[in-house]
Amino acid sequence: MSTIGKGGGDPALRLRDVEIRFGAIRALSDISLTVPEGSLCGLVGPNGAGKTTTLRIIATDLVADFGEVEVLGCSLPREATKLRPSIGYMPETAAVYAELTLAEYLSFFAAFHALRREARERAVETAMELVRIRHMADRRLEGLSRGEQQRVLLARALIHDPRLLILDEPASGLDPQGRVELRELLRLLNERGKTVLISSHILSDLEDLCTHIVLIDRGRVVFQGRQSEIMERNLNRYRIRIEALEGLEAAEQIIAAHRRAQLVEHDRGALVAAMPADPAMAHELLQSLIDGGVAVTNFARTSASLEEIYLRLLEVDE
Amino acid sequence: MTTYVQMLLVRWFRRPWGAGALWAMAIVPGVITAVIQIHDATVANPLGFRLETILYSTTALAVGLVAFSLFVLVEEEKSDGRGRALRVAGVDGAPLAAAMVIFGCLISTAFTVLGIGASAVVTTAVGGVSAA
Repeated sequence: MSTIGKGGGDPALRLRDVEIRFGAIRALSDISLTVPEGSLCGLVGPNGAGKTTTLRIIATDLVADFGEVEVLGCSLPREATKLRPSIGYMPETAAVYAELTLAEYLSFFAAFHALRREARERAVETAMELVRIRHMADRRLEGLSRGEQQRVLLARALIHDPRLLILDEPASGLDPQGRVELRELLRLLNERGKTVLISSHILSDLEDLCTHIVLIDRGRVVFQGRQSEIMERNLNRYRIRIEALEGLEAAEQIIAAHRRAQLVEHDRGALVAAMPADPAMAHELLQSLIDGGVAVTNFARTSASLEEIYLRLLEVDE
Repeated sequence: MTTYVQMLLVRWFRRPWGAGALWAMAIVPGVITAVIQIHDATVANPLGFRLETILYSTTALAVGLVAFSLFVLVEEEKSDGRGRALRVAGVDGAPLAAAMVIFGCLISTAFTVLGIGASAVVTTAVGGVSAA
């Protein structure tokens, strides 16, 4: 079993050879991962990869057919009851009650977590303030937009001040400002010592946010490690952005004819090429461009986005 | 469990069919009972047996409606995010659904008894007035 967060804290959760089937479909096969306590871990993968199933097992909502699951020192499913007060779970699918007001909804869930009346009122206020939905306290949940509902769900997951937050696509339905606020909030919660496990398709959000990444594809872990590690994996490749006053078409042909360089994308009047991390080879490409009559104004190395690395890892996996 | 029952009742009462079921459960049998009793007390009643049949049928229908609406309420959340959130919060709706059905039946019975009692009071009063 590989371990993420080498040198990190104690594991908040550990899955070993976990497998689960839904009828004839094997949703997860031999998933093994470890997430250190205090980390902010992103779970990424294409649709149907097994992210939600993994999160549901960790959140005690599903029981694995095989393998070992240990969350915050509790062995699942045996110690699920003991674990539940320490985890906050936000499911991917809608989970609000249209008939209730926001304050009622949060208060009921605070009561489920055995908070007494005064503590419950305090918890509701704190959660609403934290997620910035105080102004909606008396509104019925049926009238809320998807983005507002996502905030409500996050507030509910936080209502009992859990140690581990399990968030399934929390940014889904949020507008750009909402996503920025969510990132800030999750960072804040993480700084306060909460371990956060988050799945998302919006990889640029995770890139700015997560300390660790787990990549899942077709029910298997393809990569797990610190985000810096996954980015370093890309250091054996240069990604070069080329801008020119004129001659971009010629530049395109020169790159295509180059023995090791590849054209990756056109980006707002510039070209982006990928090539092995070899300074001599980069110099050679620049020289070829100048010799070919391309009026180069910028020839700069840029870093690949998490999304590009993610797609490359999936390609390698296939 | 108490909290879940509270939440379920709040949700149920705020649903149009929840209120409708309550109406059917509490008011219809009571009104029919009162009509029968008043009718019996004041006029000869050749249709009494049929009215009684209607009363029992309506009561049974109301209880069934309540049981079904509560069952739907719990069942519809079981497989979506609401059910997941509940289970992770330590609440399992399945046994509570059964409890709520029983609760609904008890409430229905109580309202019916109240209806019969009220109509008996009315009947006595009307009979008293007639005798006088």
